[in-house]
Amino acid sequence: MAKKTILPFGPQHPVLPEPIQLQLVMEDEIVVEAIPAIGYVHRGLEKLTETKAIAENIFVVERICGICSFMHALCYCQGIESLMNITVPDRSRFLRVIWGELHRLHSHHLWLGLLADAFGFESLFMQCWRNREMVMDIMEMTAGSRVIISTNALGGVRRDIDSDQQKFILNSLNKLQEELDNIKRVFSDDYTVNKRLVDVAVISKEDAHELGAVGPVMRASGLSFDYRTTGYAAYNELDFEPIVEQSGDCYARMMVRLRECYQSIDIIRQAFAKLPEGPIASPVKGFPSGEIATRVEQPRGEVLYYIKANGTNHLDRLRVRTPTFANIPALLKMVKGLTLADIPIAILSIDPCISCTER
Amino acid sequence: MFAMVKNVIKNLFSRPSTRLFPYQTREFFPNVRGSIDNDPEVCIYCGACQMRCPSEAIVVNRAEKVWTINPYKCILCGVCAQICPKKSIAIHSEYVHPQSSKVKKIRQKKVVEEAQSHA
Amino acid sequence: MLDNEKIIELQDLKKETLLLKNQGYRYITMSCVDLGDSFDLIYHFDKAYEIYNMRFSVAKGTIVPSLSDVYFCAMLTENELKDLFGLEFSGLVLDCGGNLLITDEVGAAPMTKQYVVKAKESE
Ligand code: SF4
Ligand code: SF4
Repeated sequence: MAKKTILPFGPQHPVLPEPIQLQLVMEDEIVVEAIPAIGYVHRGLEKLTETKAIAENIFVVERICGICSFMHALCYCQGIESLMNITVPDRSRFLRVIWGELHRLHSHHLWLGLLADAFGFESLFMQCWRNREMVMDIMEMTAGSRVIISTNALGGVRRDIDSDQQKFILNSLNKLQEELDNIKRVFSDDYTVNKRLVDVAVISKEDAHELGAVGPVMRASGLSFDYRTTGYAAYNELDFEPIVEQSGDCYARMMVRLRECYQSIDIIRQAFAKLPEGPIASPVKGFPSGEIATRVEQPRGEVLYYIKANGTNHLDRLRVRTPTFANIPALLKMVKGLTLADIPIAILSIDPCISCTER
Repeated sequence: MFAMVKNVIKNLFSRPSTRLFPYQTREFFPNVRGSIDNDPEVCIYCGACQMRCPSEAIVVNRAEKVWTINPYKCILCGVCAQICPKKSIAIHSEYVHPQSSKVKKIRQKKVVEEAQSHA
Repeated sequence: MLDNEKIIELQDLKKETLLLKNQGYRYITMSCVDLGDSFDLIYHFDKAYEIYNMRFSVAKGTIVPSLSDVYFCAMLTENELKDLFGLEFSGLVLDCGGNLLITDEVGAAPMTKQYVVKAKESE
């Protein structure tokens, strides 16, 4: 038997946008076990939400994660709204879908770029991020800032999208779709890319379910689970199917996200076609009380908010289970048996968002 | 091979995808939240913005009519501008530039001195 | 009270969880609420988009059996609650020793109600 070596991977590593450490137990070049060490960016936001007012918490939860900030706020608002029995106006439900899908688009583009960077394809990385810039422009135009857009409010949304902006968005999306066709060819057919992704870090259907994986990691293993199909916000009036791949390797996870980009564009177009007229926010009076667990599908998977309110302007407890937190056990499983050179790709393939994980 | 030649030719004759920054700057879209400012003459120093600011960036001194914002604490959520009863808070699209010290922005009502107004 | 909630006893935890696992439930997470002198523990499970919650209360200082041998993924949540609330679990398959999220200088159990956050002097 070969000698065992423990190799620390991270917290600083070229492929990692954020700090996480995996202690890899190696036998020669093969990983036999991985022990996670997180906590480098723990900010105590759950504790902070107990001291802020309920409406102010929207801005706190948005800062849990920069990439899916809108969905965090959406999940929080939906939770508080159902505790207080507020019906949200129809127009704002559709606007929420539109901004949510824009966030999914820019998150997936960011990830595709990072993946290209991880297997050393610099120019592909640049192209993905250049395309992402179109989505960021839409965000800046409609919401006033690029990443943390702060458009959610209790009872609706804070900004409207007028018809000029609609035209701009639809034009940009057409352009984006053309560009996506170009990079899709490279991602799906290129010989070198396939060599790096196919059959790497496979996770079976049973394992994905048992380890509680969510989002694209779960769907790439053949499990059809997409929380959007339950029809929160306006998803019940839009037509889409969860995107599922069967093979469970890095290639499948990449394909799920790539195809979800197309799906998001399609959903935004549908939402604009059905966008009703009307007010964008309903009035909110009083404070919530009671408990609720709400879920929303983020780019990385399902997020769960457990909210306990006590009838005052402060919450008793807000607990956030973010998708990356749920995907780490699956990651620990999938790195077993890989060679060291494949570890960066395996880690990236779950789309790790460490700030989310540690809050 | 052919596709590559096509790409090379295309890249030789197309314009760069980036901007030549100092000469060409990007226009902001209207309504971008870049920085917060207050008009000291319109403001009534009611303190509503201080109460509602989620990051506690604004301090209003009612007695001396001084309005102070710490731009490095402000998260540019826009709540203050939304709730201000006099709409004296304006959101500009220029971002706060990096600085070597954290300077607070102070807005104070000009006091019209008695002696001067009599003269 | 949450939807689809079942209140159980501490000693039934393992039994109930095994039952859920055999029915094909997916472990989502667990939440902990500080009630003053006891903790409320809520386990969230999912099956076909339906959430199922299991709840019980434990007095502070009680050792809770770990679920990590049934659902391996419970290991991370349990380590997290151990850090943030000072809960103790027996039979954790991977024990980070209270240092998964926080370092020693934070002090014990920063998420409990009596922990006071000290503000920094600057500003
Ligand atoms: S809310 Fe408006 S009027 Fe009142 S103190 Fe603030 S800036 Fe002045
Ligand atoms: S924009 Fe938001 S954070 Fe900034 S001063 Fe106004 S209320 Fe405070």
